[in-house]
Amino acid sequence: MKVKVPVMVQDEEISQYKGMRITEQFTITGEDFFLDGPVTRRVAVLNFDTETGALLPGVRFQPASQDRELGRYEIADENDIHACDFNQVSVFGTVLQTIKMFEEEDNLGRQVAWAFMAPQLLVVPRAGEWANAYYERESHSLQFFYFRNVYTSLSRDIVAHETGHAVLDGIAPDLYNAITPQSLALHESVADLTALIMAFRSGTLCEAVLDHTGGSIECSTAFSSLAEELGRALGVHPHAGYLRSLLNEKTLDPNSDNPVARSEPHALSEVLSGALYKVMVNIHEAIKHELAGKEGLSPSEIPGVALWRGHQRFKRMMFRPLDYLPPGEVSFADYGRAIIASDQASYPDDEDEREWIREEFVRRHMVADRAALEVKSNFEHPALKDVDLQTLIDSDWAAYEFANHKGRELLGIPEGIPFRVRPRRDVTKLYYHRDSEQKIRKERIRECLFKVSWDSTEPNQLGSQFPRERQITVGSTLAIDWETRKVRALLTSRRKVGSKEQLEQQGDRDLMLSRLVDEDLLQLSRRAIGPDGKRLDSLIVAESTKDLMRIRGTARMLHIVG
Amino acid sequence: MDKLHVRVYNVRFGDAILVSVPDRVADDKIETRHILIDVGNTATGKGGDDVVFRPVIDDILKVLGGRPLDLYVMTHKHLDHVQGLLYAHKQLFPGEGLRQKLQLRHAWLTASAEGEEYYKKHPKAKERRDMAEGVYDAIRSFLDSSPERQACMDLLMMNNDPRKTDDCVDFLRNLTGNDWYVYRGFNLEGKHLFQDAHFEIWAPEEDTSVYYGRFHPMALGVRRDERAKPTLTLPTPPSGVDAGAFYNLVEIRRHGYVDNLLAIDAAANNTSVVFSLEWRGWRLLFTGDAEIRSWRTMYKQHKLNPFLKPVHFLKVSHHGSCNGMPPAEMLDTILPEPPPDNRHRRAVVSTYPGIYDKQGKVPDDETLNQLRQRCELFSTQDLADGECKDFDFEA
Repeated sequence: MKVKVPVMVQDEEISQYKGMRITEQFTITGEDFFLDGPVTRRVAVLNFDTETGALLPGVRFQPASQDRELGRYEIADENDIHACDFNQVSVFGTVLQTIKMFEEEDNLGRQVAWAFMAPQLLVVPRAGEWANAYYERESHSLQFFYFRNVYTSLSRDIVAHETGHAVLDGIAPDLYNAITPQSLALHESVADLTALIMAFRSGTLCEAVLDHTGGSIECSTAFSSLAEELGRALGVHPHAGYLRSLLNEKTLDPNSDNPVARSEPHALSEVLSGALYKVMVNIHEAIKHELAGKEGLSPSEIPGVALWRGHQRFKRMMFRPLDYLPPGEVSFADYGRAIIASDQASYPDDEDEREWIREEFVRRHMVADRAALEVKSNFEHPALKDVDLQTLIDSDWAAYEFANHKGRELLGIPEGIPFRVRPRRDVTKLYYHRDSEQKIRKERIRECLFKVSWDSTEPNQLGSQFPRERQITVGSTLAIDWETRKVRALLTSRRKVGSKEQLEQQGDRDLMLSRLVDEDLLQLSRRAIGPDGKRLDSLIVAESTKDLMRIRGTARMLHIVG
Repeated sequence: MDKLHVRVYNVRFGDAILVSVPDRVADDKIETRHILIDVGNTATGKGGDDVVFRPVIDDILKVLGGRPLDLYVMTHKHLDHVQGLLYAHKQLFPGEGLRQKLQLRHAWLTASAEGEEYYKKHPKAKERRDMAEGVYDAIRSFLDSSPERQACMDLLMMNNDPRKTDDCVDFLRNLTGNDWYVYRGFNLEGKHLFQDAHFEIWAPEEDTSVYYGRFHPMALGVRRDERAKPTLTLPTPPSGVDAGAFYNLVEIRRHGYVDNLLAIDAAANNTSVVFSLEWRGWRLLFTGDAEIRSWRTMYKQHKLNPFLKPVHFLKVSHHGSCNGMPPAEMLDTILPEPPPDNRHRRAVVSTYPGIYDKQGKVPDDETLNQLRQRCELFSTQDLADGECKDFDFEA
């Protein structure tokens, strides 16, 4: 069944000053059913009355009929974007549009699964008055608030960003409980990149921006600035008016002109996002160069075509590696290695994009040097000889046996410690390759994704009221090519004790956790119980057992705090 | 020999402290002056039996012996610290009886108790206070409409009810024409009569907006009608929506009210007047209900311009809750180990068990044990209702 819904091009104010249409149409395909709400098997929009808490009626669904080829939702006036019915349908459209971008066969190549282990993501477009929006695993929901007449659910950037959090949580659930600032920043960055890619997909927006900038994406804030309308309402960047900019020169080098606080995930994420946006600019420029003078394209068409192709390449480069992220506490360097590994395994001879990644990661001090991003891919390993991948996927017992014996050394699991084998994944993704005649050919690569994790401890520097040690989770991802049995990627978040990366990560955790304690956001579990005997919601809770601290739900609180 | 005398009363869940200080008057004569710090209890439930005030007030008046009360300190606007004198005025000494007996000379009240005058000068604090009051009203409607009410929630609500505390504060400010609204940095010259005792106010900050934490989003789902009792909305999941997830979402969106009520409570606690009294080599610290945010603010300010000092006597903050304990690094400053002058140190906690049993338990055993490692600790729990415990400090 196909259903057409209106979605926001960006947000109201920005559309107006850029002279663009405010909405465009999106056709949804591939959903099992549509109900009033909108409600589908995977997404349900719930419109609560913010005053009384009553659930307001959902927007009525009209299936396709003899007169109408596509199903639709009954919106009284599609031009009245502030009306509840429009809001419900447009947020639904943007959420599904974002989910489907992730599911494309050249991206994750599968249906996304939610970290909360249930089929339906609940979406509340008008959650109350507050300058915020967030994804919350515990309530299976995206909640969008409004502030000074700015509805966050009417900003495509914000809706795509929050949906990005939800999707990433399903792919890399450990990031939700991470205590390393860079792990949490990675969540923000991926959500920002999601918003960016969704912006590139809007023909209306691309046309308006490229017209305005003479075909460049380097000098426009339309793509690089996130949540402009809300930013203006909040007065965050009074001159520019956005919540976050991807077009930046921020770096982890404390001696630079643009250093960021290593303990603050939102600020840290700008370093990573800035680096990746620069890569996108390079890709766009390179494709424009490639297309220049090509037959059948007028010069004015080139930037738009290059942007469409470039964003597809960028999307694959950024999101496919999420499957390769090792479990546990990861750093920007881990993500960088995952990007390189994924790209290298697929395009061993095409170095340009990988070079740009290395350049940016080194330039912004996310890694010490290029060598830190070196990863081996497409290699054989004796542990994989005669391994039945289907059995590894199907049987927990077989998977554990493999990790405990044949694969233990390969996976880097230390001797004598218990470990967990994560659910394995059988994934097939579409790759585009150039053949010897420079023609593009499609190739589907099937992989077995095998992940293990274990816990390790480190000193806790939070003062005498907290346990002296804290638990951190680390682990490894092994991606095996189903056909060749070669290792496509092997990545680990395990660090050699005393290594520069380990010491940096540990120091960053100390800084962030101390800040959370100072801001009353982190509390021992015995202090986090309300008078009703239930756990308080506004805290990150540290469980303590035998002088060992374990923290859960860090990302939830940081999303809520904003 | 001269002795400074601290008398701590068991008023159940609340504070009432009388400090008697030998002080120089004219011709180098020594007379005893008196400071009364807070009189109140929770006013409801087993922690709030008002009967305890009779023996307490009688004893205070007996100690005064017909002489004036030199200073009254109202640490903060919570019933368990302010309602005792108004109760005594209404129930025990009708008319002007209590006012005349106390003959109060000076009153120090926490800065924000000045009311609208204060908030005119501090718009940020006003914004936060107004938000807190809005949240409080919403929670009240919710609890009024909720089928299940818990005593501890009622107690928190009553303690933070601005209408109830305003009456008490009005009464206290009118006990004397010399009512001062104090904060760290407030010039105390001429605001008391003591010659030999030296006071320093460590908290609150003048702008109390720093004490308000974040308010959590809450969707309580209450229909409010001015003419009728508020009613709770109980939405049901629409067709096709996972019912378990739906009810879970509604519950999570509602539950933020508990955090918000505690945030309101903590904000008031953190406006507590925390002051030190130095007398002939002894230093005593009175803390009201200062919570962790106040302690941290003090410590932050101390790092900029040192004022925290080791003390010999500590009135344990916030009835011995874990939230009232200063952070470890600050405790090392006020109760360093070993004591710098090797003097015996004492602390007293005024508390009553079984009031907040679920919420991290008050008093908190671990908190009290930490203090026991640094000083001798006494608790009003060990006294009968209305009884007192004395602490002497010899000159």
